[in-house]
Amino acid sequence: MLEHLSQALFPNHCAGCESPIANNGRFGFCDSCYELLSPNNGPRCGICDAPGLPQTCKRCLDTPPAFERLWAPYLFGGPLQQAIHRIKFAKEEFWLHGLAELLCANEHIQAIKEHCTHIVPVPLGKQRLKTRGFNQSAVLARKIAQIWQKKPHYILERTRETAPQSGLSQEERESNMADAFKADAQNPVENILLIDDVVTTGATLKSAAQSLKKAGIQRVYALTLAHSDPHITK
Amino acid sequence: MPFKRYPILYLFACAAMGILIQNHGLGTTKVLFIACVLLLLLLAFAWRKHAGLALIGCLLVSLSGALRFNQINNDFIELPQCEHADQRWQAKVDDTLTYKIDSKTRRILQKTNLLLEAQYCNHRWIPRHIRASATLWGKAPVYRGDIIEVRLELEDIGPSLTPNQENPLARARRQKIQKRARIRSPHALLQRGQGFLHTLDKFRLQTHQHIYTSFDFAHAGLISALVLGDRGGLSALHKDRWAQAGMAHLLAISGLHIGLMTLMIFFIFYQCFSLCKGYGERFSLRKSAALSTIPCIVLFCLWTGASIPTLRATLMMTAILLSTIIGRPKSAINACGLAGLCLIFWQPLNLFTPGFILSFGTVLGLLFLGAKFKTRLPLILNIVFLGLLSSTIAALVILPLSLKFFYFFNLLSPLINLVAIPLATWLITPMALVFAPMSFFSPKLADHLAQLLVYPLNGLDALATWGAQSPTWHLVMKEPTWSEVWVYYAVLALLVTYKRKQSHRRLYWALFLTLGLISHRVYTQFENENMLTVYQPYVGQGDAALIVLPNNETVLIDAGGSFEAGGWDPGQSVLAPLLRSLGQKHINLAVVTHPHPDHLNGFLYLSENFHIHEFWWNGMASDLPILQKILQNVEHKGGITKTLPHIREQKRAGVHIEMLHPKSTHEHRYFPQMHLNDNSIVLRIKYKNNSIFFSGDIEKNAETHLLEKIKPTDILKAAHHGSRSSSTPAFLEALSPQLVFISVGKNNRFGLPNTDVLERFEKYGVAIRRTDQHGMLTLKTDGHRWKVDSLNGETIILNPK
Repeated sequence: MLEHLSQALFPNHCAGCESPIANNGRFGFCDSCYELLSPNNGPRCGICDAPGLPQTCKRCLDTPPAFERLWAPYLFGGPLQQAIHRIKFAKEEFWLHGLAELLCANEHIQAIKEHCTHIVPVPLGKQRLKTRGFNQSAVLARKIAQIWQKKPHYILERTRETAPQSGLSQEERESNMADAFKADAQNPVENILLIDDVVTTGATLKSAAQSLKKAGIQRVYALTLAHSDPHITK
Repeated sequence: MPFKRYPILYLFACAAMGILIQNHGLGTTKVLFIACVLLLLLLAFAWRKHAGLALIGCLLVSLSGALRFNQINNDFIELPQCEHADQRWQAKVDDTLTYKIDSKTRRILQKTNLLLEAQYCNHRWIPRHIRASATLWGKAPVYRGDIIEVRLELEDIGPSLTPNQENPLARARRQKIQKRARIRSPHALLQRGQGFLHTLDKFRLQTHQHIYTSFDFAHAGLISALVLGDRGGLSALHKDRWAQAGMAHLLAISGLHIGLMTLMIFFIFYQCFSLCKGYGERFSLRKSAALSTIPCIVLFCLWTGASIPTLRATLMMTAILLSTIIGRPKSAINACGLAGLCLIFWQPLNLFTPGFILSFGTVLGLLFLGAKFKTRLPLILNIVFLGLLSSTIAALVILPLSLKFFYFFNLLSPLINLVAIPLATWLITPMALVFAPMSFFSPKLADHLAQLLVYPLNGLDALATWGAQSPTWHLVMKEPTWSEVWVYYAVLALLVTYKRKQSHRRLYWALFLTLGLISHRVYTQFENENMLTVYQPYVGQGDAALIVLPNNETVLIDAGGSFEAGGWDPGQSVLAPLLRSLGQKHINLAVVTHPHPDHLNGFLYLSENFHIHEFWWNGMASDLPILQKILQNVEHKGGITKTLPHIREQKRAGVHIEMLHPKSTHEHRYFPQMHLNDNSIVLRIKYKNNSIFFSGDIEKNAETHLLEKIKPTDILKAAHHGSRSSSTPAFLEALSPQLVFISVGKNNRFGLPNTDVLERFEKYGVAIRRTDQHGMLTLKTDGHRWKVDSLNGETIILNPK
């Protein structure tokens, strides 16, 4: 009843194409947009989930990341890209709830639930947080934690403002993110699941995982919505 | 406009439709209506599931709108009568107070609605339950919930007497008022009220007092309108000036103010929350700020007295903030629909008020049309472009409604608003809003702020004066019909939805409709060709008759006027709208029968705002300041002023205008030995076989003097408002009119018209029409027979004798 009422008062629309949807549609998408989502279940890297060949990618071999494993069950693009753009630039956070549900509904992700004990979102710079009004990773983490009946932990902190990662090369990204985080783990826990929205080269997650490791955490896993690796053919 | 996207807007439209249908008087039709609904319900079930559900929802909403309307309409009850009634009543203050300071006595008048709870009757208190409007003038301030004892007299609220003004009955019904209370004594406070609203009112009055101590009288009125939503301190002339400039919307707490307030409060909370370390990571800044903003704007809305535009804007903003909180896409159009739906369910009669229609029309127009345009200009240019765009859109949407409700539209208003809106909403309102709390804590600082505030206020006022005084840009047109208004909007909708890549069908339709609209306008312009029309509006105690000649020229004989300075001005509030509704900016001939205030004073406003080509008066009392001002105004605008020796019989468009009196041998042609009334200009207007006689305020002396000169006439304006000193039997016999009309004020203090005179009219078998009972009279002739219509009476047809 309440759902119907709120639907009548504040009708929802698809995160991808803005066509009206009933209630939450399929994870915030309309049927046709949902069909257009491309899952990242082809051959991919065993560590960073970068799509390409069924072996550890060159990047992970050259500089082994601090996290044990990264999962990114969807490929960035199409309706998902539209949705994330809408969330970030139109500052509409509620679609993240649908996306979090989408993530949790993915069968590959079920395994992670048992793997990790703590859910930690990647924090946002203070200035960026102020302009956007919310931290998309934190919203995702909260929703995932709610679904898994766990608690999110805010033990990471940004030490400085960083420039936006988009438009930078891999080296620039890594130097941009170097020592950008500080972990505050008073009682070191075993397994941590880092949450972010999209992974490209993994520079942010690597840096965050590194700082967690420094703080004495043994294993760090990472989960993102989508992978947007530009070197798909590698 | 898909239903799924804007469901509430559709429901709002459905409810409005239900109310409109019900408004057209349903007896048996009601049954039919419900039967149709049931039939459609069945059909809907048979149809597709979702569409069917939507249809059912719509129908249910429109049905409940209609039922709600009926419920409100049947609210009226007859009051029980009481023998040996005393004027003492116990009453509870039941509504927001509007404060007005009497400019002479500096007394605070408190206008509100009272709930009369008991009457002292037959030596005991008898319980009553009557809601009445009242203006209290006792010293003790009252607030909502207070119980007072006061002497008062109850008056019925009559139907509208002039068509160009708001119907008092409709207004009373909207506020659920059954009577008007005339307060006869200062009130005594029996019991103080309690609760939140009481405290709120207390602060309102204190703020009001602070405003009146920090500002001078004129500015204080403006500031209290902006901060308290209380327009009591503004004079009618002031409001008129702002309305003529197209800035009247700034004088109320409108959507603009609420929107601005919401943004400001949201921004402040947002900044505060973002300063808290770690808060933004754990919670959403937007949601928290939205959640904190809602109570603030609701409080502000209550504080300003919750008028319709304020309520609409508050509901809209709350809905938008709520959608952020519960996690749904923001949609201003839906929020607007929700606000409308709430308002018409709360009080269906709101649907018929200009304020409601204008505010919703503008907001929806801005939301729909504004979304069509997207620019990629640099920031400053973008702001200017958006400002121009929105004021143009608002003007386009308002144009026909403004002509319909106020009979004129200022073509400069988009430009004026482009300056006025930012000035008012970005500078004056925030400053005034800071002033209000500051005046409680630091009166000295508040005084300094007040001194600063005076400059932008003066600027705004100067803008209004400039806008009001450029009459070339005032679009005055014959009042459009509702169908014309709808056609206009249809053309607008067709043009907006037209896309260059599509077929040109929409364009052709728009062209076709525009041509239809123009030809209909032109046709109605010539509709009254060959007709002489005399309008005898209700102007209170006074005289005024507007004659529209067959060639559309206008002759105005007297313009009414109040006896007290600053009183109700019929020139401004009756004659100006009447002239404008007929599409007139000029008065070709104006006649003051004699310079008494109830005939003359109305001309002051008219001479300032209309072109008077020729002005006649009897040459007496020429040192009267108001008369001098009028003469000056007329001459300044290029008109001619004439006194008796220069007045000749005129023939305009086949109509004879003949001056019968006064014609003495005295140098000035008036009778120095007679009273001013007896020197009234007496006019006989003849068109083909028909004639009408305007006798001014002449009394016995002049009537006897006239006896030899007069011929029988069809219609007579009773001399001196039906006073005993006039309308002698000999005079009546000589004229032998078929109909006599009396221009007289309701419950006037002179006891006019005199009952003997009325009996005399009846004895001679003359039909009587009174403006205080029948309302405005419209007398029309084609030169062969008269058709006399009145607002609240039957039509009389006078055939030639």
